[in-house]
Parts: sequence; C-alpha cells; structure tokens
Amino acid sequence: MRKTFNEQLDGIIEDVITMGSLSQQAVHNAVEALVEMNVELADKTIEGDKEIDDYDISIEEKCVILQAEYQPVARDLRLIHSISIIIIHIERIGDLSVNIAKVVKRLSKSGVEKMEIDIIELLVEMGNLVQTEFNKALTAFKNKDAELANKIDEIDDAVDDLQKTVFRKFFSKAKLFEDVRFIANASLASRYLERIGDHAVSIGERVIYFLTGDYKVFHRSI
Amino acid sequence: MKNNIKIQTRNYGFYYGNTKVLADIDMDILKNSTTAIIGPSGCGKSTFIRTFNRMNDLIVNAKVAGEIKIDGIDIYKDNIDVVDLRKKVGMVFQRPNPFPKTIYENIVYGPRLHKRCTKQQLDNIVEVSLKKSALWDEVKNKLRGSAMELSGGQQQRLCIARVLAVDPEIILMDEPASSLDPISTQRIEDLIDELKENYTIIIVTHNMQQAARVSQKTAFLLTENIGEPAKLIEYDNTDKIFTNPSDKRTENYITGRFG
Ligand SMILES: Nc1ncnc2c1ncn2[C@@H]1O[C@H](COP(=O)(O)OP(=O)(O)OP(=O)(O)O)[C@@H](O)[C@H]1O
Ligand SMILES: [Mg+2]
Repeated sequence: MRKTFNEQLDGIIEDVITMGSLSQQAVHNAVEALVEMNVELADKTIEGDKEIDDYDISIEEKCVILQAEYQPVARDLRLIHSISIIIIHIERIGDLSVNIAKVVKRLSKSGVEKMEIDIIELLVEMGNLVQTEFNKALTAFKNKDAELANKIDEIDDAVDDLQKTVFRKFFSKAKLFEDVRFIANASLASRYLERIGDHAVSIGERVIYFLTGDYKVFHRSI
Repeated sequence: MKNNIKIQTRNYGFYYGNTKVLADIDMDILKNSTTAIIGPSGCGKSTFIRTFNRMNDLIVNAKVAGEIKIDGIDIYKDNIDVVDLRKKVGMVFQRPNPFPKTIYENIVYGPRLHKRCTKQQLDNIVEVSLKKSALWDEVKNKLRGSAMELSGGQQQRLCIARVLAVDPEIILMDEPASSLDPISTQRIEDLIDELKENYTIIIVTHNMQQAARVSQKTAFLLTENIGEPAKLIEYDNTDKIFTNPSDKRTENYITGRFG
C-alpha cells in the first residue's frame, strides 16, 4: 500500500536521527584518534564518512519528492525545510571529523607519537563540549524540544574560549615546539572542533524555527 | 486604515430554518486584495460569501443575523436595491455557467439589464471585458459563435468577463477553478492576481496551495461539533496562515490532519 505523508515524513525523521548518530560517532572517533594519535581509528573515521554522505543525499532526495507530491504547509513545511538544512550541518560535522582524522594522520606521519599533556587536556575538553552540543542539538530535534535547542549556544561560548586558549598556548610555546607543522595541524584540529560546535548551534536554531515558526532565531549572533 | 475596508461583518450568523450554520463572524475584508475562505466541506463557505450579494435571499426560511456592511452600508437594510447590489458584487461559480447563447450575448446581457447602451458601447464592453478576463485573443473572431462550444477553462473566463462587464467592485468566486485542468487553473489564478489591483476578490477554494498562491488574507471556517454553527477560527495574512498559523485547529486542517 502507498505510504501516507506522515509515514514518509516519519521515515525521513528516522533517517536524520540515524545520520546524526553516525556523525556523532565520527566526532567521537576523531577526538579519540587525536588524543591517542590512533591512526587506525582515524582511518575508520575517514571511511565512515561515505555512509554519512549517502544519507545526506538520500534524505535530501526524499524531502524533494515529498514536497513535490504533497506540497506541505505550516509545520510540515517548516519541518521538511529545516531537515534539508539540518542534514547539511550534520554532513559538515562529518567532514570536519574527517579533517581532524587527517590531522592525526599527518602528525603521525611526521613522527608525532603523543601530544603534550596540556594540549591534550584542552582538546579533550573541547571535544567533550562540542559532543555535548551536538548531542543536545540532535536530542532537541528528535524530541521536538525547543527549550533544549535554545540552550546549545550557552556551551558554545566555552568552546570558543577554549579554542582561543589553545591558540594562545601554541604561541607561548612557539619556541618549545620547533615543529611548525605540529602547531599548524593541532591548531587546525581545535579550529575544526570549534566549527563542529557552530554547526550544532545551527542545527539547534533550525529546530527552534521548525517548532515555533519564529525566524528571529536566525538573527541572533553566534 | 478604515477606508481600506471594503466589507465588514460583525456578529454575523446565518440560519437555514432553525439551524444556525454560521455564528459570530467578525471580519474586515480589505479593498483591492484577494481574500481566501477555506474550511471543510459543509462548514458554510458558500453560504457565507453568498450573503455578500444576497444570493441567499432566494432560499425560503434562510436568515442572516448580525451585520454586513459594504463601504460602510448595511446591505440587509430595507432600502437596499438588490439589483444594484448584485451589480456591485459579482459572482463566479464552481461550474462555468454560460447562457446557451453567443459569446457576445453572454457578455452584453448584464450591461443591457442595467442601462441603455448603444451598439458601439456594447461592442466596447465586450472587447474590454474579454481582454480583462484574458479571453479576447482566443475568441475575438468568433464572438457570434455559441458560448457552449468553448472549453471549460474558456467558459470560466467568459463567466468572469460577464461579471466584469457590469463593472462590479467586488467579485465572489466559489471554487472557480475546481473543474479546470492545471493550465486553465493557472490562467484563472493569473487573472485573479491582475484583477485584485482594481477589484476586491473573495475566493472559496479547497486547494490550499491555490489559497496560498492567490490570496493576501485567508480566513478559516470550522464547525467544531456536529450540529453547532461554524465559526471563524483564524483570519490572518496568507503567508502567516500557511507557514505558521496561530491556531492548532488551522494547522491541523491545512496540513491535512484532523483532531
Ligand atoms: N438551501 C439549504 N437549505 C438548508 N441547508 C443548507 C442549504 N444550503 C446549505 N445548507 C447547509 O448549510 C451548511 C453549509 O453549506 P455550504 O454549502 O455553505 O458549505 P460549504 O462550506 O460551501 O461546503 P462545500 O465545501 O462542500 O461547498 C451545510 O451543512 C449544508 O448542508
Ligand atoms: Mg460550497
């Protein structure tokens, strides 16, 4: 029998949730690979990205078809429109995890076996915070929880501060770390983590929009 | 602000015999814009718009309660000339209903009824009305041919031309495109968009996307409990109604979920 609009929409929501958990796993693996300098885990993160990309494309296609068939309005329209944008952010988070994994591979190739403990601590903390942000964003989406979505950017300030600290730390240690390549790569990793946080905030905003219909949420500065 | 309002209803209600089918409708309908009336079948959309030109007068035992003012004048007052009112408030129906006469005769019928016209004046009215209804090019060479030989979409545009011929101010349209194919529908929608510059248009439609496309304001009528009269649940800018309605019942209706 032909699936109803709601059955199809529920299917798409399920796909977004699955895609979200794959991307969550990617962030988790990337952070772990980074702090452990685990090349195997980095490779796994890179390979896993293909599946996230596939979800991105198939969800987008399903959204387009559903809109063509039913021309949804009101909440349904806002939800489908928001999903089309949320999956871009999830896909970008997957890509940023891949970028972090590539940092791990480059550093490892250049002979780095373990990072300085104070740098590791900072990156671990950033990693934890952005994973919390991302987790909240996905949970808010899944549970249609605008209140939770509203809280994501609270953490984001801490992430931004941590990133600045990482940068500062590198500069103060510039003499110690002769290896510019290391500094560049590790700075990039922290920058990638910070971007993951931004995408999580954006997902939260989309959730707020589809739940409330209020466009003002996009005008707050992040 | 106030002179933007063409039609004003206050405490409006409608009875068929003892049955009250509509109640408590307060609505300000704006000049030179299109207002869409939506709601489930049987909620009273046709009944509602037919009161604007007193088409319901013909039904025995039907009764209007409350007030309907057009340009500030209560149209149910005794001294209202219904023929004048119907000239001012034209109506287009769901099924095109041309008279079984020539295209030309269909259009001059109304003007002849209202005033004496010369042949030249009538020719002019025919041309202008058909141009306004975007039918002129298709029929200019067969004005003396039968209206019944036109396609459904052409017949509907002829009916619009017939309404325009008497120079109305308000045009009521009751599902004007529901029996037409997509291309004819699009022509009618384009036409509505042009006409709203000079007329006040009220359209009843079951097609949500059509309401969203053609109107600036949308009113949602709903009978909540069987046996009770329908009420105006929400009346707002069309953009708002179709992206973020304020009332849950509107949302449920337009998204196709009920209850
Ligand atoms: N002449 C009549 N006598 C008695 N009841 C009537 C008459 N015409 C309509 N009704 C009743 O009034 C209610 C409103 O009818 P109306 O035709 O206005 O609804 P509608 O919203 O236009 O429906 P639809 O979308 O199906 O055209 C219905 O319950 C209908 O049965
Ligand atoms: Mg009707």
